Amino acid sequence: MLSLGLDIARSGLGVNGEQSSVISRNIANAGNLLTSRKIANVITGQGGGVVVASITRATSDALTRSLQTSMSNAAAQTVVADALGRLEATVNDPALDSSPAALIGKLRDQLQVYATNPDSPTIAATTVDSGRRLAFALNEASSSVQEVRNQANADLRVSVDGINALLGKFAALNREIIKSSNDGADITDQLDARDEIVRGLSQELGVRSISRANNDMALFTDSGLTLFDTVARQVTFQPTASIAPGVAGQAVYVDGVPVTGNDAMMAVHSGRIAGLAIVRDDLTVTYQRQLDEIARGLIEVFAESDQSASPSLSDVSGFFTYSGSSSVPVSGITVNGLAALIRVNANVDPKVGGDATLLRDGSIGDPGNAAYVYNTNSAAGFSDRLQELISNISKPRSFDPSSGLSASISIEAAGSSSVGWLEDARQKATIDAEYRSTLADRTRDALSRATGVNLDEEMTTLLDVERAYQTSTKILSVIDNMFQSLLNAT
Amino acid sequence: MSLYGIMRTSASGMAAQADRLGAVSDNIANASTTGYKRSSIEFSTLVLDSGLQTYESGSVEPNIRRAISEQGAFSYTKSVTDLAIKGEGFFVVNDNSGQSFLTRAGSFVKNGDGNLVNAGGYNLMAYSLEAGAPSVVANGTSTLTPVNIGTLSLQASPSTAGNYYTNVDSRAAAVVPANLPSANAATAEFTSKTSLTSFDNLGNVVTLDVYSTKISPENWEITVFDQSAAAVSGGFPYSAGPLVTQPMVFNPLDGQLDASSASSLDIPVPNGATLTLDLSRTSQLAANYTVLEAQVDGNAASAVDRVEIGADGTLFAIYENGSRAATYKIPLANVPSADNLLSLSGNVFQPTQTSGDILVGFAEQDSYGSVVSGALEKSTVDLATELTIMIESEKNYSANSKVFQTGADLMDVLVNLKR
Repeated sequence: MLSLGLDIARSGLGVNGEQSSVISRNIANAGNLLTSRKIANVITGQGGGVVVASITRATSDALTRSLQTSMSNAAAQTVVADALGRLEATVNDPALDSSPAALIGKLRDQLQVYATNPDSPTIAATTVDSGRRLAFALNEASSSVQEVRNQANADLRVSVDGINALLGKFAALNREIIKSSNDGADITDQLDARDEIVRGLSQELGVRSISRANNDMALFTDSGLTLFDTVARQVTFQPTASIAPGVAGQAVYVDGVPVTGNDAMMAVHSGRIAGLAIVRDDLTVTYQRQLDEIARGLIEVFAESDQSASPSLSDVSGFFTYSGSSSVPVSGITVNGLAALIRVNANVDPKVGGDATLLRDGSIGDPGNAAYVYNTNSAAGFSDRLQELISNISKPRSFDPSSGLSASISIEAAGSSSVGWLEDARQKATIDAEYRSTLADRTRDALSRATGVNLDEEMTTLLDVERAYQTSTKILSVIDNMFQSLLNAT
Repeated sequence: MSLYGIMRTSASGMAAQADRLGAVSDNIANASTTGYKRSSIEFSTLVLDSGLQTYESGSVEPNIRRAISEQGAFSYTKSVTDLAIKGEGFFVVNDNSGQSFLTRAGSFVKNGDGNLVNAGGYNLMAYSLEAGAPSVVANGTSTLTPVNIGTLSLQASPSTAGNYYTNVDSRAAAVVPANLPSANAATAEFTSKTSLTSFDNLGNVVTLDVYSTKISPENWEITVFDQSAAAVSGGFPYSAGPLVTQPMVFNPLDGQLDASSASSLDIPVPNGATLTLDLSRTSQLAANYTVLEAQVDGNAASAVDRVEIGADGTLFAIYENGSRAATYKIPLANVPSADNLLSLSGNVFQPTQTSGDILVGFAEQDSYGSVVSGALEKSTVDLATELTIMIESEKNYSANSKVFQTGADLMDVLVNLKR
């Protein structure tokens, strides 16, 4: 059966050719860590020949899944740590020592100086300056928080757009894969690309993938909502242009169900979206509340009460006021956005034509109303009011528990407690983010080792293939010689 | 004994060897013809009555043998419509006049009309599955139609079956009856939701919102809505009530679906068929809501992208959207004595009296063999064998001619006796 021998040798050459093309593809992708190793599966064909039955790839479902999870977790924590880092940097610059907490201390010290020299208009003006700096610091802190929140809001939008784009690509690839998965065509590159998309998606939000017949894949969020099942589901987000302080923003919806926010029944647990939602709707809201509570506490500390023999008027805001209002906010309840509005009362601010000595004499909130005048005798050495203010600063008062501050501490303690809270949260988030990123890196390495290209292995296989090719060629020439002798015989 | 007899006998020997050389040359010429079956010549003696004293040389009679039942080796190709048979069967093909033949030459390609035609110009015949299961006639080819892959129509199939296996979180809070999804109130609450893609009769995507809601420990409610009826904000209240709602009761001992609880859910898909969703592997354990398997059959209307042929001869149309539908079933035919088939041009065979009538069946049944897509059956000719036969034939021919020449020489001697 010389003809058959020729055929078999020829089929061997063809298979060796295909094998070497697979090897060269592997070697070309050796630098790409997450490209899988391709394998040409060779079987014996009918009548003794050899044929490449299929080209498959090295996979590890467990590692692929754990890489997705760890990337999701790392992405969420990194977002949180970044946002807290930015807040910390802008609000609590230690070099400038301009945190609200430090400035409250400075104001108290300044009041003490003023109390010992109540007749000095220069010291009065310096004290007002100190108060202005404190109000300004609170305004700045509040706007920094808003900036971080608005940034998170914008990032959510980007993230949602990214998810929808990735889902679109996923749909196209998935269709291609299902179509080709039964006829032995090589779909390994498409499978790799689809895995890459799933990894991209899991950075944005926690994803669970389910493999189905014909290499079909369905995607669900880590909370079980459908992201892709034959067709992609819509991920929607209608961001408000600017978010009100202290109020949670619009939720992200997956398949019509909210996945962010405190009342979300099926909230996603990981991915950038989860991290951004925590930053926007939880951390910054709490911190904003603390700033608002400090602002409210300050207004309360410096509020002026009716000094008549029989007090009948309600308290009015004194040194610190907001939006020009003279009323004092109710104690223990957050007024959202107050930190952005707090000002030194214009009546006491010499820079805008006010009289700094009113700080000593009272009647800042309602000038001309004798009921709020503390220094009834207009004595130049009057320091009772100043002493009262100093003691007010260290007197415990009630704070809104939703702000995370203790219910009853002094305004000074509230300031440092807020700094402590932020620093603590940042540190925890940073450590957690580092840990999770490391875990993701390790998992990536493990996946790459398990399914990636190993150059040594490829080179050894290449040598085998070369040897087999040479042998097949030898068989061809031997059969050719045999034919030649047969033909010569006739 | 007669001199004429010698000449006649050797002439018949030469003619027989010439026939054999003819078969060899045919074989060598068709050494690369797909589906070609080697021919050979077998000789038998023709004996004349001889007395005891005289030898009457007879002659030799060539008999043509075709090794039609011999399996050829395969050569593999990249075309799915290149078909080979591994086993005893034959493809049924028709010529343009509608006459049926058998063949093993399976290099089918789509012609201008969309029919699958082999190198001999014959149409591949099969049962159409468009009207459901084919009516198989075991001893005839009249119900077969030419395979036409040019006009495979758009096709949509409604969803009828699916799996939906989940774990619902046993730790979830119960929902009060007034707020259950089945009440479809704006205040509706649910424990978990997943949407499934299904298809109606026309192939429209109908997205089904499947809510699982805890009523009380071990008692859940599964409610299905048509997502297109959802409120503008997405979700409750839907403009139409639930498609179906059904209680799910779990066994507190193992968290699996209780035997008393229905293990499937019949969903009347709007404008579609009834979708039976299997829930049998749903569990209620203390773990987060997890979708373990979610799959619904059916497909959207879509054009045919290409075809694929299975080992059992089923021709699948692969649609643009990746779904597959069986459209033809390619039968295989056989005869009791395949070697006695009549060979005709174009690598086709026809049943004869001696071969017996054809029997039509399917691949992977009985001894019909299986269909291999992407392969061709090579010619069974082995060149070395043919060349050796050729050499042998040549020698035999020369020997016969020598005998003839001897006879002719003797005749000359005889004629020259008289001067």
